[in-house]
Amino acid sequence: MMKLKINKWSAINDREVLLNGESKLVFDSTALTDQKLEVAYRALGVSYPKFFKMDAQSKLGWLSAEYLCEGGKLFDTSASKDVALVLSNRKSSLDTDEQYQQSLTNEEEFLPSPAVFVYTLANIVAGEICIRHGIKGENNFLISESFDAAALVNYVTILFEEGLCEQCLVGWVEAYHGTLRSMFASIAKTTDEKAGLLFNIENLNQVYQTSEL
Amino acid sequence: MSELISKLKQQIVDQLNLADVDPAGIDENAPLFGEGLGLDSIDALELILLMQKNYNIKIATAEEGQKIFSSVRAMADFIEAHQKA
Repeated sequence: MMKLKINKWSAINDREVLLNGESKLVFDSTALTDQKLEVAYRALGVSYPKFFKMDAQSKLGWLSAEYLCEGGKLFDTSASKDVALVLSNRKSSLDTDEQYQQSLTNEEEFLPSPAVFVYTLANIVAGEICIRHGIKGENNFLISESFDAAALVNYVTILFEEGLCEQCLVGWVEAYHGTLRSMFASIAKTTDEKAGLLFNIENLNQVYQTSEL
Repeated sequence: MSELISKLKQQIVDQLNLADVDPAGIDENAPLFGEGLGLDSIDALELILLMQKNYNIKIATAEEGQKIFSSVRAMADFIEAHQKA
């Protein structure tokens, strides 16, 4: 019987960057959000000028995927249409929505930025990751009150069972009012129940909670 | 003119968040789109904003925009002509 496993996971919070629970980078506690995101980007040693045009949430998601793949390919497949992406958070794109709303209410200088406007959708972060890693499969962004492992496991399992993907990136990404919180896990099929962490509600919840500690 | 070109290069870097681009290293005669800085359609809108915000210039048509944004020098030429008018 086909089982799904969590191959590996990454997380970024206000304190550090984690890969499979191991700390990869610790932020200066006095640094601002933008500074933390830039430090995490510089530490990767990659060149991706588009990074600096993204809003904080897209930067956070982009970095989470980048740390997960450790400088290589995110998935070991050339069939990018077989890779799905399922992300979630609580506040959608509210951080950037508020920023854009403020620019709309500035009567003295009514010059709302098109570059900010394009990030007033939660699933833009998924688009940025798909562009970077050439992912062309199913993707979705779910909004829920809190991290909903049951919804994510159910949805992703259906994608696999219906043959809509062979591999999947699933997780949580939220940047809001200077607080960063992400957890990404790469999911793949396995026939070996002892190989890695099985992808189920309990384990996904455990990974999420570990990434918050 | 050279002062305006230098100022414009810095404003482009700031407006478009070109974090790793040294303004002094931008070739004022090189095309802004397609090669060189590799700008995209959203950048074009941001450049329109830059002209409006800093020089009170409103780009009237897409054809005019294509001509004005062909290079940093073309932008500077247009600003200078606008200021003299």
